Amino acid sequence: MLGAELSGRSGMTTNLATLFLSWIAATALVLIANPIAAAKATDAVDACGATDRGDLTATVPLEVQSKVFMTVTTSKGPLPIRCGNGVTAGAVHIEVKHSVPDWGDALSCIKKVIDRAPEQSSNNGKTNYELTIGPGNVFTVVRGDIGIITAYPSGGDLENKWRQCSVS
Amino acid sequence: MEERHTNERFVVGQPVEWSPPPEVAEQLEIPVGHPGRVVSPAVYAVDVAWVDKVGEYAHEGVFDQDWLSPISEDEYEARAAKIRDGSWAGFARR
Repeated sequence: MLGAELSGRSGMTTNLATLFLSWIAATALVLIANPIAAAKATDAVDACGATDRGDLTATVPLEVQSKVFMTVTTSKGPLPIRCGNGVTAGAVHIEVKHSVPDWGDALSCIKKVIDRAPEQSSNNGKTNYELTIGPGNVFTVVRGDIGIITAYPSGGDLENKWRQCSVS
Repeated sequence: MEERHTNERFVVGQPVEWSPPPEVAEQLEIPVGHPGRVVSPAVYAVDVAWVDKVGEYAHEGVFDQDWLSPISEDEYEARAAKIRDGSWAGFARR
């Protein structure tokens, strides 16, 4: 009886192990077949209680728009990235419009651009930074009174360009 | 050729009108057709000084170039005069 039970458990364990290995193999195949596939983060949308409208904009509740989602420490001092309005400024806007794959990469990249690029200040209270990361990958960051307003790479394949900027 | 963000559609000082798609227009407080002047012309981050009841209004954010249309200097002046002489109260300041 006990032996049969153990045998049953052993069979179940073997099945689970086989399933797990199959899943790993399938995942590896997907990654090999499509190595540049990258997911888009949803951290800002989730943390700010926003709704992604699917048209590169999001609706952010008014009461959280000025809340700080993250702070990036730069040579110009700590700069907040607020939730923002989901359309023209802030973390949710950056995430949904400019396809941030991972906020770790985004923070690293924003810091790099601000630390290394020359400042271009306007008389409208904003400062622009533009840094060439590599061929076809030019990053723009804009900051203003509210903190980081926007940040984005040029062209397409945005998720990989964020990563390239982060590790460069 | 290296790709740059600065576009050729707008230059600093260019008069423009707010002409976004409806789904964007409904989310911002800027009236469609409102005039402004380009302050900084990055492709996805055009900064605009909008005509206000008195002076100009600096929105906290920046705008996709596709949400703006160029207008003539005469059109800009005419719209600005209409706004300043009319009953519109101006932008709400946060």
